Amino acid sequence: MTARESFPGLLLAEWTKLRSVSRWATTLLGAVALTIGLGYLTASSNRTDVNEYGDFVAGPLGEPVSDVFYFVHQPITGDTTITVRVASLTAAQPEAIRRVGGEQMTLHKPDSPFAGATAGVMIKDGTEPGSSYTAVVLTAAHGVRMQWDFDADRKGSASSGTRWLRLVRAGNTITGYESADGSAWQRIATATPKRLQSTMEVGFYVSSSAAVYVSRVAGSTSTGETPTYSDAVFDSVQLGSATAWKANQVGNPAPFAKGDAPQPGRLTESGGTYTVTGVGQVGPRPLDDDIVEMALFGVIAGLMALIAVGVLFATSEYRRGMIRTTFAATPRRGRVLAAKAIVLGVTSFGIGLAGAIGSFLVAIPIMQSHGYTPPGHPSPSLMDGPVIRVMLLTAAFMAVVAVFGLGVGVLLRHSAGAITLTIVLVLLPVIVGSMLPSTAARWLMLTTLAGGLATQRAKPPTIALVEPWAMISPWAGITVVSAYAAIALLLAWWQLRRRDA
Amino acid sequence: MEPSIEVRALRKRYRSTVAVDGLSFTVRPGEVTGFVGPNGAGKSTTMRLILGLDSPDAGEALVNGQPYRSLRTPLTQVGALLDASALHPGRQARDHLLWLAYSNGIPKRRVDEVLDEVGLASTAHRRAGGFSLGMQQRLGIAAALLGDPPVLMFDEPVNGLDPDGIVWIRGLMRSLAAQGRAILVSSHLMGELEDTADHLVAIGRGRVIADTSVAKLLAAASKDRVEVATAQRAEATTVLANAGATVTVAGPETVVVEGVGGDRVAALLTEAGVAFSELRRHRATLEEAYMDLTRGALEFVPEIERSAR
Repeated sequence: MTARESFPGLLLAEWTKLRSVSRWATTLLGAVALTIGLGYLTASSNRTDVNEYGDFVAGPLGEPVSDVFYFVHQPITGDTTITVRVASLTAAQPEAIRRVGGEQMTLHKPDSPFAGATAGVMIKDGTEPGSSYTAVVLTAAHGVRMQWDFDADRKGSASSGTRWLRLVRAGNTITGYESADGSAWQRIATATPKRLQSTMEVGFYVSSSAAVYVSRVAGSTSTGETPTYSDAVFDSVQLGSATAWKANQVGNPAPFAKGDAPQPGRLTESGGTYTVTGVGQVGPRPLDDDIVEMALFGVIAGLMALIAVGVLFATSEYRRGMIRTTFAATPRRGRVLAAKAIVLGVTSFGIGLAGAIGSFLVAIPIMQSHGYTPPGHPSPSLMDGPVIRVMLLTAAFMAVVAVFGLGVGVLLRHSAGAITLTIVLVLLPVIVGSMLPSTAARWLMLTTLAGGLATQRAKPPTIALVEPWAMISPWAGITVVSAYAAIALLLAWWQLRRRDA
Repeated sequence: MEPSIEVRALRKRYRSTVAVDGLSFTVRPGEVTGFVGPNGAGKSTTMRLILGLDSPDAGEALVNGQPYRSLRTPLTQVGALLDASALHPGRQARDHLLWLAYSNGIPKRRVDEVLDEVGLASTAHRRAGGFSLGMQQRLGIAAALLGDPPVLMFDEPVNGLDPDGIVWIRGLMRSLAAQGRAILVSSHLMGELEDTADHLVAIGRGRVIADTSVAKLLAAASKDRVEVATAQRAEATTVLANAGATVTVAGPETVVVEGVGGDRVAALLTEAGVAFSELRRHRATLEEAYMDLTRGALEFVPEIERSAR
């Protein structure tokens, strides 16, 4: 007989095992149904009116933005160059902990190049909040940046001290430069902002992000904002055909504040030296709620079914001694484990992808009919980069957890125990994490399987939501889960080698 | 390389129990080798060690000259039926054989061939969990035959089979041996191997008690005994015992005579006027031969039973 051993043959053998137990096939299809079904129910029960009373500022791209700063400016028609020296930038130092009504709230420090204290030059399409702009800024924490239209961000030098900044408008483009001494200039980037009229407001400005305080107690997250004020000193201001400077606050520094309205920024000038106090932030301001993530609420249910199949794919070998038939057919046990993991992983990936895409297609239209619409919630498409990432990583997360279950099944050889352990490792950190303070919850997500749920987020991490997994990036989440699966498989492999079958 | 199983000084201990204690024997091609011993004697352990499922503490087991774990397509070299219920009850019989075939790169048509060979063709699409013990045995035998291997091992294959099945499996083993294959078949009942085995390896407490051909064993056990059928059993016994023979009662009208030749028995009985209807050479059963064999070792039989518990 012309028999030949091959790894693809082994994969086919394990695939035959997986597909030929009809209860498993039913459970796998059930995982898709559960994922989509729970997504449908959640979408049907969620409503929002955020677009109706929210104080939205939509940027030139139609997305929610923050456009609050103190602007010293004048209108300039046609090509122009503005140069300033930022002599100093003194960032606000908000207190780390605040007590609000007996509740302790901790300061959140977002790691965004748009946040914190900034001083820079700007060319803007009028002073209406949300209008198109281009700026070169010195930031307190992220060096020199060139930013435009609340979205684009290009890195300049890492300098944080005194710096010369320059914007040059030539026709439809604006180029940003920086310099240490005002004579040797480095180009940062060239922008083509959305709206560049013949007459633009040109000048310099200071912003200072609100201090965000967060507290988390069982089942809820509270956030609060307080305006902060940062100061910058500008001198050597050069602007061709300059006339008189106008200075005003753009945007409302604290739209939700009750009682006394917060102070706007201000300007003091003495002999060509301008001291500007700024408040507010210029940059994207996405809502924390992520409708793609909400549409995938059913993933957790589908995952339970996949875990069950993953564990049983291992433990069923032990229940009636079938493992001896398996190892008699393939004495190289590591290859059997590898084939099992690959077959289960690829199958679960397909199941997870079907569930995630199905949920998206079913739930998003329902949510859009329930108020989750632009500008608060821009319409997501399956072709958007972040949405594609969510679909692929969510499927990968489900597959990797199923493979982890397989490893645990080999180690424990006991179905109920292994299924319970795996499910607890996914769910328990979610429950515990939603009660912990945000730093502890974030840490918990970075060290447990629950962190993998971060793969469902299309938006950047945020601490403002109850879901603790929203605090870490999707890539961190999938890395943690993969590490768990890798360790479980290694232990299983080591056990299989040394144990009698 | 001739098909064979070679077991050399094999030793395996599970915690405090020594299951196999320095076992050595060889299974040769063209023969059915019976592997007998009481329950707990170490038969199944030896088979697991041969298949590389358990690791020996000492010694080695070679299949066709190689350790099992180094075989790349083991199903084409050794077919084994260890435990017929070792399959997933939710899987169809045919799928069970199919994954085995894929794992060793065995052509798919062999699956239908062996199903037909063991008489399961009509139940190929039934779930194995619904099979009777006998059908599961047949499926296990189909799995063993799948790779058309030159060496076959069956652990208690007769268990759960109906009389038809028993006749079938004996015929199968004989014909497999006739094709030149090496067959090892274990049993805790000597009688089951009657008319099947050519060679016998008897073990007790993990050690070889006997390793001999069945023909020689039977000849030795039969000795020069003569069987006498007579209505006058008491008289016959007296006459023959007086002549120095050892007489054993073997039935209501049968005695077995040892120590006196057949001619002399006829003469003695005729002389004494004891009528007898038949006089024939006594042929020992394998059961008897085994008892003879183990008589010297009987003192440890209770210990075997204790260790099996």
